[in-house]
Amino acid sequence: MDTRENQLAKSDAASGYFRRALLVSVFFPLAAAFGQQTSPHLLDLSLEELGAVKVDSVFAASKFSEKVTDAPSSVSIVTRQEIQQFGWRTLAEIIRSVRGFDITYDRNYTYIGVRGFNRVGDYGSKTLLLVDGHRMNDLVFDSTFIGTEGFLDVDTIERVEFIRGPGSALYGGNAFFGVISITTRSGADVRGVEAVASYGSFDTRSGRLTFGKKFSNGLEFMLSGTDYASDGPARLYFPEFDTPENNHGIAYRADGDRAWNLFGSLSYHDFTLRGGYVSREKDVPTGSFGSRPNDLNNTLDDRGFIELAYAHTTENGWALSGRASYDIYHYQSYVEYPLEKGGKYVNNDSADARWWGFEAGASHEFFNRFRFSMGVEFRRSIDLKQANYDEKPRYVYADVTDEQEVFGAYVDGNFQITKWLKAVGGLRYDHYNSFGETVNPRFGLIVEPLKDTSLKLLYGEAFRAPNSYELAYNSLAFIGNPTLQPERIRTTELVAEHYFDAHWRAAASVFQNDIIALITSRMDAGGAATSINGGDARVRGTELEVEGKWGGGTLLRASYTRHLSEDSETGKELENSPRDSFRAQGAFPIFGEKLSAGLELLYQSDRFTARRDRTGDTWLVNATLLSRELRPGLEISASIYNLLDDHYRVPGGSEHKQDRLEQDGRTFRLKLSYRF
Amino acid sequence: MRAFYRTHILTALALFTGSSAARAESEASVKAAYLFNFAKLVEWPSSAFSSGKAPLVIGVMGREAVGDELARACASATAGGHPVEVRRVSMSEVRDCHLVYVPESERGDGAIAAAQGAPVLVVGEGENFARRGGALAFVKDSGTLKFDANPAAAARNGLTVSAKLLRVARTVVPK
Repeated sequence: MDTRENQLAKSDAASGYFRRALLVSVFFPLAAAFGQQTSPHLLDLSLEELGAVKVDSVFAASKFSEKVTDAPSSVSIVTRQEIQQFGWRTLAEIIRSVRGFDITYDRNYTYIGVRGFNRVGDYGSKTLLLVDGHRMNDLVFDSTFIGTEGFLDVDTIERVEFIRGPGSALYGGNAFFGVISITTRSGADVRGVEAVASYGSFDTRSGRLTFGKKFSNGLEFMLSGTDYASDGPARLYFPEFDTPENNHGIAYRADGDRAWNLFGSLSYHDFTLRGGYVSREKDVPTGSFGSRPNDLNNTLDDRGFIELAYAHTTENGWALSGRASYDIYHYQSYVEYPLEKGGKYVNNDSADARWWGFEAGASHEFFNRFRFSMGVEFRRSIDLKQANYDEKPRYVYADVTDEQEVFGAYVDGNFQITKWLKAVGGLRYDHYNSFGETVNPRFGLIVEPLKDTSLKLLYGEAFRAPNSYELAYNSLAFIGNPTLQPERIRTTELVAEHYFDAHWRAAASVFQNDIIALITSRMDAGGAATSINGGDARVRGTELEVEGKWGGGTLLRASYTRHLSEDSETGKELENSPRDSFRAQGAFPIFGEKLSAGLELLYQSDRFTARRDRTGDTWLVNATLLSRELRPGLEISASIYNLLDDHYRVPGGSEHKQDRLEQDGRTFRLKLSYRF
Repeated sequence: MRAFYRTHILTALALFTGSSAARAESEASVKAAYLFNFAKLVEWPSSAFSSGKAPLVIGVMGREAVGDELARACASATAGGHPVEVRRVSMSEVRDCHLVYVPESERGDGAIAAAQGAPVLVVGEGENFARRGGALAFVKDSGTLKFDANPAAAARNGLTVSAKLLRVARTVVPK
């Protein structure tokens, strides 16, 4: 036996490194790697070859910048260039362009669905939304605002990172199906003034002014404001309301939408002061919550935050970060109902939340092989109120005060064992004043078996904590449940990524999501609704994507996803869960920079509605012509959305009489932008 | 027997380790490789070196990872017969370098001004750096890293950018 081992050792003796690795690795496999250096072969590449090397990097997957292929998740990145090229108007339109993500618009809010899961009434709460690292999910409903109620004008976005899979091991609550992380444009990027005006279907008009600059002393600022208004379709027909007293189902001029937002950042060396505010008022035409389509029904949502963030890299390579923030969320809805004896009364529903938060983190790479990160987070409500009352005659149904306090701490690390094998792992502890503690881990192995190929085997757990609405709201028709536990998910995923050459890339994913103890609304014996931890579900999926990119802005991308979802109790397919989705996007220069085209095809198969009807499938084609630098500083963009005029439908939530809600047909937008 | 299999597996692993090469790289290491190439493909006047054996000094401003990558990669490298020396430098030391790399976090305009008239190649970041008088500038392009060149700016500092470098540049700023 000894002789054989010796022979084997001898056959490797050509390299002393290998022999050392062989001997040492039995006892201390980690030590072998320290001697290696990163990519000395890069020096041997020609300039042409260097120019073809991919340097795509992602931050939000591990809270430090790393190559996409090294990240312990399936990652997609959307850049500002694509947002312009495809004429996307809202974050929702960006999100639905990305493999594995979909959206549902109920003519008021837009909800994010991920990997075949978008239960109606979830408010997009199972995805964590970050703006420059700041948590955007609100404290009352956990909602993510992605439509016209979105926090940012999408033209102030530099890039959006989509991190699929459970992220609670780093981010705590809401990072259930994934994390969407937005980076805003810097002052240096804006460099001057941008003035933008746009006009589109339904008298939709919008204006934006953005200022930005970086001074030679390092001071940098960006300030942007947008004003938006839309009349919406003048007539919307809802067959469910087709009675004489409801104008034969026609909601007339009932879909108005007004929003404004301000966002700014000011940086000096390691410090950034950042803040923003959005206010949106929406007329709700759908007769939701038992109202009538032509009666008053509108919602107002205000969301804002201000924060001071710190980021510093020490002389010996420690990356330190911290932030202190103050957030507000205000929601108000007015809904008019008929009085039995004639006339009308108005019901006023509202939520008010203010909270502050602290975060600190540190990250360091040891021996060029071992990356270690840790951090803590603390969040506490200042105000957390919900109220519901009738005005004249005044009757108070709900007047609830709640509080929330969350503490979280995480450690995360990755270890480059050999040049082709990396192990990642981490866990996070969270404590909520409501239900107590939860610990969520993630592990993974990242293998690079061949040049240009990366395989990731990943496992992770995540949770969404019950929110203030589910825990504490109390009225005639809804009773909060203070004993709710978090809903949980366990995900196992295999990701494969391959770069064919400088232009083509392919990615594939196979995953299984086991969702446990979903927070679900149920009727109690007295006829009031309450939330319980009831219902498990499983989603299995396959995702395939091919992408080609060339200099000068040419892009080709196609993806296919198949998601098979199942309610564990009934064995039935989940509602609003498209089995098959297909996406294709192409951007082509026509006359160089002067004129280019962006074409997008989005297909989604038939989905079940909440009442087990079907939506029918969806075919969306969007086209944008973009002209840059026709005159210095001038940019013109013309878009047609839903070119095929597909009046597709999405499932309606329980607040709607409509089981299916028809979406807008063909619309257009013309946008003029001038920078000076 | 177990020990035998274990050894087998480890040998296989060790062989694999040697044979693989990375496909997507960190930005810092690609920049380091570019900088080394720049040092080889730009011609300095002989007066810029005290002797034929004097080092070619590459200065990196700020605390970017590019500096570490470059120092590691160039440990025993030469450019134009000169040993390459990598230093971290501040604004006041720009003129002590042959090539200075100014990351985004540092003052690009300041470095261009500081190097004016001295045989220093100033390499910076972004679309506008070369237009503002930097000799070379890194730019991102479809997930890859390219560079813009301003040979006239280099010439004002007495440097000649080789045709090979200009051929590969994404954009060459006209005079």
